[in-house]
Amino acid sequence: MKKLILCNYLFIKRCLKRTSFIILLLLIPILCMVFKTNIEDTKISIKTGLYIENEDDLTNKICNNLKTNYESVTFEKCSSLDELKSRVASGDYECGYVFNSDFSEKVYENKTNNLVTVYKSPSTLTDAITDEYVFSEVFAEYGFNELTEFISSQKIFTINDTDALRNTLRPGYDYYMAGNDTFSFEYINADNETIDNSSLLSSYVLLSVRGIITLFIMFAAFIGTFNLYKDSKTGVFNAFNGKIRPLCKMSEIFSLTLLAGIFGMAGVYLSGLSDGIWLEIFRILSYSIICTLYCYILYKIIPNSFAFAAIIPVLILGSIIFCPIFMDVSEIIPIVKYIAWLFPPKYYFAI
Amino acid sequence: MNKLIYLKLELKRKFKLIPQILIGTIALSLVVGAIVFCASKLLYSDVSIKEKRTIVFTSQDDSEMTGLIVSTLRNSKSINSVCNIIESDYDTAIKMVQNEEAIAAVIIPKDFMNSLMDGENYPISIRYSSTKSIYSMVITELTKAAQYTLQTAQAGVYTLHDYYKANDVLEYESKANKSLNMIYLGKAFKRGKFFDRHIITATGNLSTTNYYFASGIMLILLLLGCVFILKSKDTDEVIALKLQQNGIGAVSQVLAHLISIFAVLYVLASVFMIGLYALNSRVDIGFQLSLKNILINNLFICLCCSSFMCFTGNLLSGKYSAILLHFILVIICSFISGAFVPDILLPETLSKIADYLPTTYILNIIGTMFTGEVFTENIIKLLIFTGIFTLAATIFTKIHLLEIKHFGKRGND
Repeated sequence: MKKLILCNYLFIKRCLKRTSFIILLLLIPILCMVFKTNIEDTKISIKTGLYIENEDDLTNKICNNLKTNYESVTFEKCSSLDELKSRVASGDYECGYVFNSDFSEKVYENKTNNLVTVYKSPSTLTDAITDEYVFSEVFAEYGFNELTEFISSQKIFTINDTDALRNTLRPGYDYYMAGNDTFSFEYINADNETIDNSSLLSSYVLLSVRGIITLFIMFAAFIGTFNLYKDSKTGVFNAFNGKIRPLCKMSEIFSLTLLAGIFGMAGVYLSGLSDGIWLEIFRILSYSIICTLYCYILYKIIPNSFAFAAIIPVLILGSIIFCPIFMDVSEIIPIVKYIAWLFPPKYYFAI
Repeated sequence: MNKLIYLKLELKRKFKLIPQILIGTIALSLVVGAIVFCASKLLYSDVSIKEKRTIVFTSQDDSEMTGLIVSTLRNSKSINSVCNIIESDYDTAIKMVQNEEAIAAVIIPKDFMNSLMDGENYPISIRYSSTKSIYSMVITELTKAAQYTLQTAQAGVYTLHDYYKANDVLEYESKANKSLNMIYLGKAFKRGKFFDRHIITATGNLSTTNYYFASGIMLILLLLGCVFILKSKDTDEVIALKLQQNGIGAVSQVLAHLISIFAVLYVLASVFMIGLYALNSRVDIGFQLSLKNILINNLFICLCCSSFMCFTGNLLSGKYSAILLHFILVIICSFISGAFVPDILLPETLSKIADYLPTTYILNIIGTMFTGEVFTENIIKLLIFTGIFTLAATIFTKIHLLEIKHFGKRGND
């Protein structure tokens, strides 16, 4: 046991002597902090284009509401249809909405078919969200027409002048639409806390920091394995007896993994993603041990360091695809959740 | 002459890595094959094995209207295409979310409808599971929009109430209220033909699947740098000094490494892409590949990747530090270029930085291979990056050689 601890200590000491290595490890928490600050300071917004073929009060009102009411989507008005199409095609806009020349007429006549034309590209991802926003603004006007039609059709009222009815109802309707005393949702997380839903886009992006840190720790284990390949050739482990030798070899991988884990944990803290110090320590320790065991098994199977290096792209790519590092693919292809257990980062997210 | 011999030796050393790289490629093919198999099962199977995420509704409100809202949502085609809506009691709903059997629980509080009528407006709670996923984000955005839509219905109902009150016919208001709510519900959820949809394509425009496939290819190419840096730094530092003393200076050494890495990468990448081309001609997998396009684009991609590897390999003298630096730079540059998270979800500052990274243009060019195009502007930018990395690698190599000459051997990690 003493020899094992001494082994670990010497390997960690050797790592700490390499200045460039320490600088690279320090880079991770620094980059996490910079990224988090950047995310907090800048707004993440989906850019979407608008074009009105025939401008009138209704279309201008809807357009202005779209431009001012939403944080997560930025609606920009285009001067021509060609401009809108080219910006959608180039990826500048996620998608584009065109209010056709007969838009206002259709709204007043309570028609809903092909009311708005949508242009999107093959790479458009978030049109479901922008569709909902455009629909809700159009529905606000459509709803008012339905209200006046409904009241006009009631036998208890004798409505001869629809325009006068509209003028009567409009102020009250606008008052309730603009007021805060109407229907709302509240969002609660797993810890029974109310979530600030204005920053969900940025918090989703920030989650990828944890994923990158798991990759980084796994890669540090790979570097430790390279050291092991090199040191095995020099015969340094022959000084230990057969029982303790595998543990000493594993400690070479573990020393680097643990160092990376400590800096990775700092990165998690600085990103504001921590779930509590003891849980994070437990996670990092467990993950470091799992990576060590994983790499040691690979070391036993793969004959030399070059073949091991050739496997690295596969392991990294496999981790990115199958483990929920940036996206949980198992939500789309369920079988992936079984393949994910072949890669170390899955165990980190399972802890 | 010496330079030519040195180049041949470097080429021989790098080409010897091909069998080991192929082990990795075969493993990757098995992995990719598994994904394609699963995906094809999804596409061609009559029975969908795709699991839709579940959202559970629970209403503590007894009103008929609340029941109508929930059943309308459950029957909505657009919502049901994305997730399963089920109804349950409060305790079961909370348990399902805690056990992650449902991604969210929508809880309609007691006396909800009455609170809307008397102006108290109890909020509807949406309780998420602990797994943070993109579904949570999408649900929140969709419910924000739904909030505005339902606000319209509420404004209409309040205005109706005020009009009936002003005309002293409040006894008829309750029935009218229900009828108007039904009209609003019907229009709010039956909107299949509201939008007239068109898809626009342009140069380099890829579908999401093809884009991530291109990202995967780029990552593989760049991460192979670990093998090449390991091999390049396998020689003793003193040998590098001796080479310099025999007329093979920093420039020749860097160029020899660059050409040898490029040759191996080009062979591997072209073989892979030609294989994909052959597969695409038999089974249409949605790419517009052409042999000429593949060979030309691969040339510039592999040249840039090779120069990047030479740069990161020579920036630090230590072997393993260089590999770690290479890995960190590849992951960070790929992340900023939108290889992992869609660039529409990244802050604007990062999107601007992406324009100055080689990974952005490598991705774009791999994408144009799938669309059958050659995009000259991206190629020129890649050539500029190649020049910059090669120059930087040469400078750092010269510095290292000077260090060895004056301070002696430093060790290769």
